[in-house]
Amino acid sequence: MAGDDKEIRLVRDAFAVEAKKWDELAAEIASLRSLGATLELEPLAFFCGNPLTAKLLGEVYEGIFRLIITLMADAETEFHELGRALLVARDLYDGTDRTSASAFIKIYGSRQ
Amino acid sequence: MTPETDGTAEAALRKARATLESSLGQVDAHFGNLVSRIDTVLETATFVSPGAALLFSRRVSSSLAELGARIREAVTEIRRILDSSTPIFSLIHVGTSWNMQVLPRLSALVGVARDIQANALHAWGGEASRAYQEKRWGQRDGLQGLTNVVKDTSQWLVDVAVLNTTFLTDITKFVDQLAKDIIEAALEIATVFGIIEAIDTVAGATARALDSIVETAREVARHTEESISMLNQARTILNNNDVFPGGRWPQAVNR
Repeated sequence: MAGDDKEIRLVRDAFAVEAKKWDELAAEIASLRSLGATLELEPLAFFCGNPLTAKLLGEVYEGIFRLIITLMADAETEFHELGRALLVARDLYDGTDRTSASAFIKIYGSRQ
Repeated sequence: MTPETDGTAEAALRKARATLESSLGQVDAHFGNLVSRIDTVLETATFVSPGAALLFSRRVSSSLAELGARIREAVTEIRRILDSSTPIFSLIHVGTSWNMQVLPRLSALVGVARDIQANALHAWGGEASRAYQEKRWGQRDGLQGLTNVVKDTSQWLVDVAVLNTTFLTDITKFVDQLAKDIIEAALEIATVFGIIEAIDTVAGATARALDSIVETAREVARHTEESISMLNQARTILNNNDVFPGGRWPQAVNR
């Protein structure tokens, strides 16, 4: 029921739990990024009996390796941001489903 | 890929290297036997006809030196290939690490991102809640896309390692054939006249072995280069704007 303090508290606690989930996801993806960062390879590892082919394969791997690490870093940032957004939403939550434009911006920012 | 298949890839590589090393040793040993056999036949000929044997010995000496140089060249090339194959173990290790250490933990995040942890949050309604659902699912899709890229990358690394192992196994067959040809040539030397023929036979076998190795190296290079398309395929998910808008991680919050 809107305005019921106990109900509001329950939902606000749920916001905090959900925000913690994103922080934990951020910590996990950061840990995976650290692990992934150790998985670089020298071009020679690709051998193939031909140094030029090995170099080519090494460059291809380097590209995908950098991509994975970048995506993980960006995911970490975004997960933290979502956690923070939920804490803002919690503070603004008043038991109703109405969200003003300014509240929306406070929660998620001004642009998509 | 499982720990068993990783173990299999590593064991197969170890075995291929050991077999090639052993075959290389056989070429060395049997060439030594061929030289001994030639010396023995020449020595016997010296008793029968010292003058003719001396003349023949000079001719054989020059041909044998040339053959020895070709055999050394072949052995050096094969040893270079063998030594260059050591880092393939790191390829298997890295492929396995992505697959066994990163992938399970990463894929487990997909469901966590998708599901709301505390049921009471379902009481949150309105536009902000609907927006949160969209953003949550966007992160879930990003995690699923990243999981797929990691999975394909780890598989590609192991595939390249397997191609390299097959390369070593294939060239071992040529080295074994060369060793066999040397044995047969030595067995067929009965008189001094057979010596030159045997040297020619082994020289031909050595050239064929080297040609076959070069051709096989070309083939494996072609196959591995073709395998790049598999990895490029994995990257195409970055072009899917529904998952990675503008090729980047989906942005949920923009302050």
